Amino acid sequence: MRVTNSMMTATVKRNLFRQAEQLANKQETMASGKRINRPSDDPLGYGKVLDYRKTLTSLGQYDRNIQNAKNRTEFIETTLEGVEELMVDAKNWAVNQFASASMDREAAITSVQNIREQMVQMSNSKMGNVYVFAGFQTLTPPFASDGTYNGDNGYYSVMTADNMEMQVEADGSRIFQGAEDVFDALDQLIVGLQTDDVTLIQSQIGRFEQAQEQVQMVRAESGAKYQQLQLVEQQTAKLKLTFEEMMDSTEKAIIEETVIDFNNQELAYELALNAAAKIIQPTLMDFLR
Amino acid sequence: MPDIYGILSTATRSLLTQQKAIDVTGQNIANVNTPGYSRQRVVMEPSAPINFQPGQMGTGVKAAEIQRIYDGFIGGQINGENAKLGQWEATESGLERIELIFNESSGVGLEQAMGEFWSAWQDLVNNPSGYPERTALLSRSETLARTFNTMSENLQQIQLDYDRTIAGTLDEINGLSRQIVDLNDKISQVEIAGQNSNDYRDQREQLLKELSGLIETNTYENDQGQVTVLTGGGHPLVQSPHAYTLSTVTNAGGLQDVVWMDRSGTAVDITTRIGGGELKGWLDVRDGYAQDYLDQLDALAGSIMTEVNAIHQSGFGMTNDPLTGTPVTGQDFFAGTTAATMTVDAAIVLDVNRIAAAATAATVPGDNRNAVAMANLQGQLTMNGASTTFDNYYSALASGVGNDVRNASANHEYEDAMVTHLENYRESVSGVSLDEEMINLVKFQHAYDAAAKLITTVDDMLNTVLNMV
Repeated sequence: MRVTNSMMTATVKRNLFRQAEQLANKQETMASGKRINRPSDDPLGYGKVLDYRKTLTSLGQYDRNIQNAKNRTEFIETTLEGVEELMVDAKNWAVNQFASASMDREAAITSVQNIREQMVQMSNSKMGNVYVFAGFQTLTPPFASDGTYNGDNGYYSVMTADNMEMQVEADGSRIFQGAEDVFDALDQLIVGLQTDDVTLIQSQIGRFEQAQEQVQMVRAESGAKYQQLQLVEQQTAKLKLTFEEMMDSTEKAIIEETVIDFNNQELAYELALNAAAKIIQPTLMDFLR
Repeated sequence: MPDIYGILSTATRSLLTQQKAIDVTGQNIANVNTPGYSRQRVVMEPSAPINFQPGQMGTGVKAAEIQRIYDGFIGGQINGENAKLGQWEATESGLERIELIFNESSGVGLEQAMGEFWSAWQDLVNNPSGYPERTALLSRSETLARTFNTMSENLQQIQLDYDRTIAGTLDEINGLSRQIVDLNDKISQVEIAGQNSNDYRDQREQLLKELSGLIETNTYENDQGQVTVLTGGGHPLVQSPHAYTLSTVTNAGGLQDVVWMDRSGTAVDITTRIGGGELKGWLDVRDGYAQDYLDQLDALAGSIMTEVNAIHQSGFGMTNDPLTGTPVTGQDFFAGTTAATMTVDAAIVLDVNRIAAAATAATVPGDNRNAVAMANLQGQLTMNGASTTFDNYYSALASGVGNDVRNASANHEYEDAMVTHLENYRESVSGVSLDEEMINLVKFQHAYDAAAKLITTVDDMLNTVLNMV
């Protein structure tokens, strides 16, 4: 084949451009630390990266939801613990007053009235701006002072994973007025104490026990929910880690490999420059004469 | 007559012929870097002999013609590949611009905006009556709508940019056609006189190559050396002595269609019949790729709006309807029809409490069931005839763009290699090699020196004869 001067210079130019382009690509990979810097670098991988990133955003959101639900469950647990203590106190007063008919009625009446007041307050507990025992009626105080329930049987639902929901108890009437109406029992006890009706006082002891059982049941349920939430939380964390790893292995460049590639490319570019300098220089004119 | 003076005239012819050869060598050296130049050579042949005893005597050399060295078939091949090269080069550069719109590797883009939109609904699930959650949801929704708007606008901007480029390219094509007609004239005039029109032919070939980079052409040459150039659908650009013009008309979409004007000025639309060249690449980007991505974006935005609105309408907000006094329902969440026109409904922008988180009117402040249904939309098969989710539809679109760019750049590279290969072949036939020209120069110079020596010898001989007298 006849090789002409412009063929040689064109080839040299093309090679230099190609090497320089590859060098620039490697440089970009090294600077960004990413193998995929635009969709065309790896169209399939790019689609995957988008999917992983979406999944990670969702998992982060689920984690936030779970934290929220855990806080709420803890809040309910603490409140119901207090409620149970109040019930025990009320029962103790009933037992105490029923046994010794004459003992210090006035003090007992004041105490039980206080207990009732606290009970109403606790049943109207607010977390943030929301009444937690009001069902869906979260902006209305669920219990009036006479014990009327203004809430409904709504619940609080948490999204814990794709298409998975968990429901947390929010129905105050079930807790305070289920099988036994604790407000009514307290009212009856106060009436019994005021009217010195020992039978009436005595008959409230069983009701308080019943009410306490009812609260214990709800506490057990919410304890189980809490454990469940913790479990899902751990799973979410694990999933998050897995997806982060998958995303890195798809998107990230392996640093050692990149550095070696870059050095090789740099060498190739220098060689091309060297060759260009040698090829372009000599002509027959250097050797004539 | 083969006498002593005959030797002198042989020497003269030789001097003149070698001088011509040196002249042409000089022309070659001068054009070593001229694109499209074909090397030339003087065809030497012995001049007519004279009958004599004991046999015919030669009379020296003559320069028969100045020939251009080229391969008649390679030009057409180069032009064919050059049209494809131009096409893919234009397609690749257009797609690379589009790719930027879909490039989310830094983490900012539509996928992220969608993710945050659905997350904001989940935050509302956590606190359905919360004002901050509602405001955050509104701002996320506005971001989502704006992202759709921007992407759509950017794609349309690219369409408009290429639209202008197309009109500019047509001017270039028309200019080239006219120049080719001029050269056709010159070539036929020179060749009718029996000469080789070497340099004009080189020029014309160069113009034909330039033209083929812009638009696919078919060329053939008649017996007077004039070429006819045909393009899309067999419409001629050049048919000596006429050059035809390409022009534009505005189509229904407000973009320019390419038309060919016949000699009476009637326009024929050839937009879809252009087979190659940069023009084809730009038309493909404008009417094919960009339009296709726009359509898909519109489908995605449209579907999101329809699905979200359907769920939102069935839910209940916290604000009471002034007419009925009950919580508002039947409220749209998004307004608009396409990616470009998508906005959050004006009523919701004014009052975030119109966002419907509750499933029934009676359960209003604390009920999050409608918000749950909304958040669950993210994972539902809502696109492509209930076969894929919003997110997957978009990631498929983005990786589709990546694939198209890859494909275009692979085609570009392939055509580049093809054209390079063919040009190397052309160059190896027609290109000027300085080494070769130097050798020729030395060769012709030696012949010139020897011919001069012959004259000196004849001079000596004549002196000898004269001194005899």
